[in-house]
Amino acid sequence: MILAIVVNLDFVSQPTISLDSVEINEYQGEKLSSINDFRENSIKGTQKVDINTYHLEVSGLVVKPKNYTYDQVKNFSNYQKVVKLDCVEGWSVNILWEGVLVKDILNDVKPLPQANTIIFYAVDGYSTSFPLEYVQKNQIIMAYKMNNATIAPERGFPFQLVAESKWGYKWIKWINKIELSDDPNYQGYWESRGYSNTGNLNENFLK
Amino acid sequence: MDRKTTKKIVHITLLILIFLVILSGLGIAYYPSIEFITVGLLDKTLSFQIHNILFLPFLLILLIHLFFSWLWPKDNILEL
Repeated sequence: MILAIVVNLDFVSQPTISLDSVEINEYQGEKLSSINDFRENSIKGTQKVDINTYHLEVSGLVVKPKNYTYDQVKNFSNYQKVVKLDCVEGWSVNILWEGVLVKDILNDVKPLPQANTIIFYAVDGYSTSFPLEYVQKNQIIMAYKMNNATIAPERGFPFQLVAESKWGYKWIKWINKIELSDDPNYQGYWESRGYSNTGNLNENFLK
Repeated sequence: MDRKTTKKIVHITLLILIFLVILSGLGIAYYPSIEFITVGLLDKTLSFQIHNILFLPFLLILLIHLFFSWLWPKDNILEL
């Protein structure tokens, strides 16, 4: 009975996502997963972001709060690397990500000395946080391309965080706001529902 | 406790565990639907916890069930 209801509600096959260009399946000899290998597990389904009205707000404990357009964000230096996303559900994907470094954006807005936490917010109300030093000491990308194709709305257009060495729930999609805070105990969407705040891959994701 | 009762207990326990393992598995993979069906009682985090906690007991009861089936085949029980 329950299975039948679930089949009707959710067990529909995942549609193929169309991209602005052909995705690559290999990079420097390394085999890549397909963009269609992701499982849809967002909290409110695909978000359609109008790029003409889109702004990335960077605020909180910063010297110069800013609102960037999509193109302004893309104008920061571009980086690409292959990083594997491991989901707590048990699946994983190996993807070539291209985007800008979060620390470059932070250098532009200049965090105040008391800032110790960076909080990312998404269009659908999702949020997650990291210690500020995680993005400052690592090359953490905010990606706008996967496998050489612009990120599709289903995968987090315009920006998805590539939170390497963290569980998939820290890889926030549809980012529209970054806030710097002095609250290291801030809990994002899944963190406030029992998931670990650190989200480290080498630790259990449940508290 | 005779063999028949023991086997019955193992059977029922296994059935309950199978149901809970499948339900919690669905609660992980299809959490919006399961949360809706269970009126929010079984969310994704609880599903993970149940799934993790029940895995070893499920495996143990399954092995006991198989062992009993091998040790006491159905025909033997009918003879008792």
